[in-house]
Amino acid sequence: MMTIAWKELRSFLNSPIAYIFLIAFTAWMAGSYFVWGKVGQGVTFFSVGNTALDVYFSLVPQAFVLLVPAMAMRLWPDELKSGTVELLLTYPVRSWQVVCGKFLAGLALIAIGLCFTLPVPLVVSGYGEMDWGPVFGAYIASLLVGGAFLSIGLFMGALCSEQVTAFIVTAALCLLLVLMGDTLINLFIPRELHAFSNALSFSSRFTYLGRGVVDFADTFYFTSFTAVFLILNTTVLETRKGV
Amino acid sequence: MANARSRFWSNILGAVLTVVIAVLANFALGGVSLQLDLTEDQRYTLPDAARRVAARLEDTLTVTAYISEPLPSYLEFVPRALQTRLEEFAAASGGKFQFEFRAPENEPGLAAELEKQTPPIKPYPLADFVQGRQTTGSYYLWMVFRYGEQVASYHLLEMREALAREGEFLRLLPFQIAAKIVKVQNPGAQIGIVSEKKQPPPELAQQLGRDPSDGLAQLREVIGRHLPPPRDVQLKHGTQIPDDIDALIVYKPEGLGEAEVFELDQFLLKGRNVIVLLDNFSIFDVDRVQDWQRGLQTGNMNVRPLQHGLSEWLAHHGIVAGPGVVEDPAASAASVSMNMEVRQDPATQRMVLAPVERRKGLPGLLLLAERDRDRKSTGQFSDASPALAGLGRVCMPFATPLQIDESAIAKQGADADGKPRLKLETLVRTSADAFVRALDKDQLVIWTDGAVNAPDKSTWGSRPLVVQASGRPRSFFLGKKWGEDDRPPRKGPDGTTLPAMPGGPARLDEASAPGQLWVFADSDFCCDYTGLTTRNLSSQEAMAGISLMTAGLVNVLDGMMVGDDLVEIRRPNIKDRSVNTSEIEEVRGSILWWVLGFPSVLLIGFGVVWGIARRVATRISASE
Repeated sequence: MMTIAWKELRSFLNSPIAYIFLIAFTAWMAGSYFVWGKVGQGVTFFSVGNTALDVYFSLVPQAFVLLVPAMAMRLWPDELKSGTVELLLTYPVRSWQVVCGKFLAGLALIAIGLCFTLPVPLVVSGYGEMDWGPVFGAYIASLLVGGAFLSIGLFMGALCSEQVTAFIVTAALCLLLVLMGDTLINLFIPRELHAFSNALSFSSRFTYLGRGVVDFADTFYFTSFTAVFLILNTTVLETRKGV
Repeated sequence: MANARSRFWSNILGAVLTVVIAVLANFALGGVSLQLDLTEDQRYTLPDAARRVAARLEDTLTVTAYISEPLPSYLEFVPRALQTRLEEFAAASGGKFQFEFRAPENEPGLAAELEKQTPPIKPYPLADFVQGRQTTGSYYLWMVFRYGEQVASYHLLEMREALAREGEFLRLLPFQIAAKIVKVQNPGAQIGIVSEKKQPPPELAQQLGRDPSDGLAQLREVIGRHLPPPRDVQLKHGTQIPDDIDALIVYKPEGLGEAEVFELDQFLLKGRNVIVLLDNFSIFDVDRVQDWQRGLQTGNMNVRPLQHGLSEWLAHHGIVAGPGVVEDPAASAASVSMNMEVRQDPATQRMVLAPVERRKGLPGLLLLAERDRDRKSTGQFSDASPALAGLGRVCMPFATPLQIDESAIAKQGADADGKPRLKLETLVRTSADAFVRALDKDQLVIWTDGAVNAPDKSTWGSRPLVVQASGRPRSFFLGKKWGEDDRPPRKGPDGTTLPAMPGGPARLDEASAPGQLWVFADSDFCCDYTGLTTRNLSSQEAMAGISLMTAGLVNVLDGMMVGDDLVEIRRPNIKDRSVNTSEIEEVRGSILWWVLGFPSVLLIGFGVVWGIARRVATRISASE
């Protein structure tokens, strides 16, 4: 599994897409908080007046909606198109190991991306009393959300042989998960659906973790969500094997 | 073929089962309340002090949360968040804290019953959006605390905007609940206020109202949230302070004579608490029209000198109050919104009209911070009392010069246990570069640039602003003898001698229990009209500092009345995590480089190094 993960990560780092992904991610995050302000709020570090980085980290799910599907879209469709997947499945490895290997490679790239956001809390802490708890919580939340999005991307990639299709479907699903449970969105849906929408919401759970409170229910939700999609991905592979 | 088909269906079944198990597991574990609070001050966990408050309950306390079902969309989190906090209190109380949720809309007759209660529990109209359409509904958002005969209610809407933000709501709730527990547990705790109410002139009726006022409405309201409402106490003409008063605020004392000082002295000797908010002059009087706004802008003010009459009594307790006003040039500059200016908006790149923030010297204001620009302690806030340390920054306008006279401790001697009768503590002080500016008749001239016309540097030094004298002092009047009732004669407004108060308690020559005397070097910070004044100065920093100083006063009162638990609960909520906006503006370019340019350069560099390493590795393997 680790061999597959290392191979995938190397292949990521060999292609310009990883660098485009990482630079776009850090530039969009820092730009949104330090230059032009969060969309719809216009809040920047220079206007917010304190060291809390909740606004900055709240940009992570939005950034991941586009960037993680873009990264995940090449994990399976490439193999499906070129037919290397059949070759891969003949190796003495189990399908779940292949899936987990690819997942770990993607997650490592997300973690690398998050590492490049570290200058932000480090710089901000130089100008005021920083509470590192919420920062740590936000990084945990970012990894969990990134992992969940990645698992959707992997699953969709295994289903669709076209990269673009996999990207669009994954991005749409991720967007839906981010928007669900949002107070503004809840204003426009029937009241009876609020409980359902809140239960599935990524945003409210991300916000909660990002406050520095690691809640068991939230962590379990993200990990079980990721696990389900990885299992579904394995099932798709197993089914392909059978066919 | 059949084998492949059966494997296909078993895979599908396995996938469906996985989803079902995951949904059920989330449903079952969703209610598990297991959290790890990573915040530095544990602000999302029930504070230990709140647990202590709950654990001290001697009888059953019942909380009934009257919460509407459903609530507006933006308040949907409230019942769950409230339940979490109430459960934590219940767990800490050992079964003495019980709670229930009731939705008046679902129980016929309950709404009418609630309306008859004192105070009435009524729904409040709130706007909501249902499927994109704006609607208005009436919602219950109340908690009622019952402890024996005592009842206290709390309307969650008192939290204002914090109610709509889950994080803020969770953070503030423990204090609100603990404060109500304390309130119903201490129905006898009584604070008195000695102040003078004056009639505003008709010209100011629109700003100040039509009723006589002392400008302490907000302070009374804040205290009344968790303690019985403060009571007005009459001290004039030597009226005896009622026995049921535990702490007395003497606000802007003026013209106190021997008989009044005697009553204060006796009150303190009974082991009670006195807070004196002292001023040498009044910059603002409710009953006269004055151009105080312009005065504060220019530094040239017409003031009314005050003779408080407490100098000797305070000196007896080691606190020397001198004439004039304290200035601290290092602490008088604040960020002020100046005139509007046309400039480019970085968000839209368009030219916009926006206020400009500048650091400006505000004459007479002392803005004191616990930490300097390098985050190092300024040493101006003492940790001796939790009431004031931790406030971050406070603002005190036109402070009275105070000094500590340590020799008073020796003069007071030791008590029966051999301990000093008096203990003196300075809780807040100016920087070492403070000086005293004298009053010129009734004209106070303070320069925007503090150094102008300042007295000789040899007189400069740090000045106490909040001082506490505690212990079991001897009476200021020890050894003095008067007539029949052995009390100083009471004088009327015209100086005539009034008859002695009948049946006064036996005179005390030394303290029968330990008491506290606090002196704040200013009275204006907690006055409602000071808020109006500083709003006109357009300085958020000054306004926040003034309200934090008031918070400090309330903390001191809480500490006196119910111990330091409430102060401790509130302390994380007031930790200063602000950044100096002017400072970060100055280094904007450097900040942008580190957060935007540096990671990109680092990434590109990493890509280049990775590429070279790959090529080298490929060549080596090819040559082998």
